[in-house]
Amino acid sequence: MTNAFEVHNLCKNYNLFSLKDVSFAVPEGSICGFIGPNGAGKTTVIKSILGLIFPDSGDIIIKQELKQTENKTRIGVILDNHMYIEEWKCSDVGDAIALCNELFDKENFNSLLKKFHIDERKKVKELSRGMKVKLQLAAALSGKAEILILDEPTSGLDPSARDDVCDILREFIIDGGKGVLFSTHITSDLEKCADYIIFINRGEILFNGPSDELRQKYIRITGSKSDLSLEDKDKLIGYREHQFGFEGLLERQMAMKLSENLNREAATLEEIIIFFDRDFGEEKNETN
Amino acid sequence: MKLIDFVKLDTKSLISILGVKKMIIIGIILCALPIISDISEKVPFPLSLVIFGLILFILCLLVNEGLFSIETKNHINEFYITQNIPRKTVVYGRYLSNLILTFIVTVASFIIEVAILIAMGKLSDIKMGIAITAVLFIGIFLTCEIYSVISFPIYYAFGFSKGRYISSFFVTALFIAFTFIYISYTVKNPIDPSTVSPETVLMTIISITLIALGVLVLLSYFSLHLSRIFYSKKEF
Repeated sequence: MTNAFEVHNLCKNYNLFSLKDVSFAVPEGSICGFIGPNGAGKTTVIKSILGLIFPDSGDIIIKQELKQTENKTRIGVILDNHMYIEEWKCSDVGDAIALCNELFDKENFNSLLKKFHIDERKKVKELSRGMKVKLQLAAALSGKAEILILDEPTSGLDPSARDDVCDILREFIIDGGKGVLFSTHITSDLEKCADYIIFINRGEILFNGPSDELRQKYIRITGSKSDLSLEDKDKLIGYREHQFGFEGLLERQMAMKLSENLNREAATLEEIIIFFDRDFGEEKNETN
Repeated sequence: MKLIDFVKLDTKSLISILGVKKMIIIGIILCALPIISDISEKVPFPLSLVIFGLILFILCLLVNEGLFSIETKNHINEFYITQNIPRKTVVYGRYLSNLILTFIVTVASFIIEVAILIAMGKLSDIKMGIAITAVLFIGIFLTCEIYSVISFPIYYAFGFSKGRYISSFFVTALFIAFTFIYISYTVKNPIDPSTVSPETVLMTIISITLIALGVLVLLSYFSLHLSRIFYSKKEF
């Protein structure tokens, strides 16, 4: 299996946060969900790949067969905050990109605008959030992108618009030789379309593999506090007590040793993020 | 990406930000005063020329600031980098955009001013009038370009929002210092205007223009180098 792009040992240190040896690969013909709680390092990784920030060390290898100068041109980017000038008309976006990218296909861009029901005479600022995401997608797809990197593109979109985005991504990878890195908080989107999941927390990759494997890796433990030893309690991720008992997340293999009275349930992607986020929050409080 | 394509992109962005309607209204308002003063018979040639020169100066500064104001409300730097535009091209392209746009504004102002002055019959000696207008406008063009090459590295180092105040302060301080030196010199070495021949005046103006051009070229070299260093280290 060849990779659309690879990230090797990416490190970046800030005062209060650091990326620690982040390595992962996005295989060709796949959509990789990039998940993690707020402040986990998703945007830092994406900005490093795009060259918006400079990592302290590490390599980013984009399609080895492409020339160095072509590399970035083949990356289509969809960011939470679009990069266009608000006063540009949608057609101006195409004109501007055509000046920068020789591979940009203006006719394809115009036909995609029609397909996405975007009026090319409208200004970018007049578009809804969903339309702005689709405008970025149209621009990325018309630039002969082989890799799409999306940073929180679906946040704030209604379910129908989110579904449209997932459809476009699925259509994009059909051709083969292409890859998508899709960072989002809305894990239900990934349940629908992601082949792989990269899970990052506190600047470290905790999981990188098929999405089903991640769901298999962790299970949700609930039950009465009296059935949980102190030692087991420490192993739980995002432990929380409530009036009926407690809940927490645990790696499946570790759950074998727990009391049989405790309930074991399959964890969803959303629950995995929530438990890790809660765990991080508690540690931060303890440190403070 | 070619530098000229970046200039096109910058011009497109500038026009979008200012808006065609807004640009026309600003243009009419700014040009109304000097044009009225040119048309008015009560305002003599030198005064109307100075008024037009002042407006040209403001227009050139608008170009300077307008090009950088593109990035204040937009994520345009992210756009440049994700579109694989080399950072060097962004910096060199911005300098070239400023040079070309300021030149166009100056030439257009010169043509309008000369046309109105001739049409209104304000120039007793047409050749001399055109020469004086040209000298003044070249002076303004060079002054604005010098201001730009001083201010651009400051914008790149501190960002436009902070940089504009720092550069204004810096340039004002420089202007005051030079004025002070000039006044001290002329007080110590007073010139009697009646003894100065027109040839001497012309030679002095040509010399000052050439010195200003030399200063501009020298400053541009260091300015480009500094801006490139600052921009290449910027993270977005």
